[in-house]
Amino acid sequence: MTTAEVPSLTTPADRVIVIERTFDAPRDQVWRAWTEPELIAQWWGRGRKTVVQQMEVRKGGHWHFVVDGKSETQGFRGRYREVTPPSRFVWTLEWDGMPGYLTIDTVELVDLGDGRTKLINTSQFLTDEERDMSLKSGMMEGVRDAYQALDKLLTTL
Amino acid sequence: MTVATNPMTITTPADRQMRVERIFDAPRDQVWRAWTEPDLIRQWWGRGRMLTIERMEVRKGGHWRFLVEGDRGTEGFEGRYREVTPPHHFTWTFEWDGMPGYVIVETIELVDLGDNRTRVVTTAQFFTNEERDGFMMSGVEKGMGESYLALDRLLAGME
Repeated sequence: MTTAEVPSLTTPADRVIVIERTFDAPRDQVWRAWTEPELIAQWWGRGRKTVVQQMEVRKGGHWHFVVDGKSETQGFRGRYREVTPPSRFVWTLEWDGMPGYLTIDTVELVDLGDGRTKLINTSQFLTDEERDMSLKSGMMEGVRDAYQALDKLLTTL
Repeated sequence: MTVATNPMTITTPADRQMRVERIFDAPRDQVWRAWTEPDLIRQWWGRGRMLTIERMEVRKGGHWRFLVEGDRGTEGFEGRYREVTPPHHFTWTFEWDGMPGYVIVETIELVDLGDNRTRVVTTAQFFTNEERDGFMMSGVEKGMGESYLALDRLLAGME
């Protein structure tokens, strides 16, 4: 197995974080891994046990995941703003530990035409302070772990 | 019954912000109750039309969800409390079902004017200026004006 690609992180605009990562799987499979409850549960929480409490993949639908943490479970939730299979969806994302602080996340899947898919995740924060706090919180470690778990899942699809 | 009403001012003091100020002829504790008790907020928040309160957990992290009977049928609004500091301010997120995922973070501040009047300052922070401008053009001035008139009436009848 090759070494997992490290996700790239940029801050191309105020209040924005963009994370990019290429996966060795066709776009349809990556889309399924993001939008089917039994699949997303296997990787989204950094590979830790994730319970999908609610996941209505449609405009206006709500989602709520509970992830096992080091000492206690962590809740994450939000609502789908837009769902355009198989290339793009937009949802809000809020961690229960900081209720009322949310990001608007756009997930874009680019078909690279060679059986690989580029994922572009753009997070829009309400303020620069919130973005910078997120950058300092070890978020990238979580993203890296989650995407490695996604790599593993994709090899089974 | 004639109820006194005061002018409402709407400004855009910063990028992605809208601020609404209005004075109410009632003590702060009463205005706080009118914003935070389900049986009271349902009487005025929806332009004076009776709300259905599906959920209203007035505490940090609590959810709220209101249904309003409108001209176009029932409209849902929902969000979550970020901070609740009685009796002078709370912050909640605000989302209309018609535009899901477009969230406003709104802080409602009650200023005790010391003469049994209370200034309500609502600061709405949007993710983009386009969302703010769209919101302001959607009839918010009329809507909030009607809601605040209903709040005047409610406050006039409170002990």
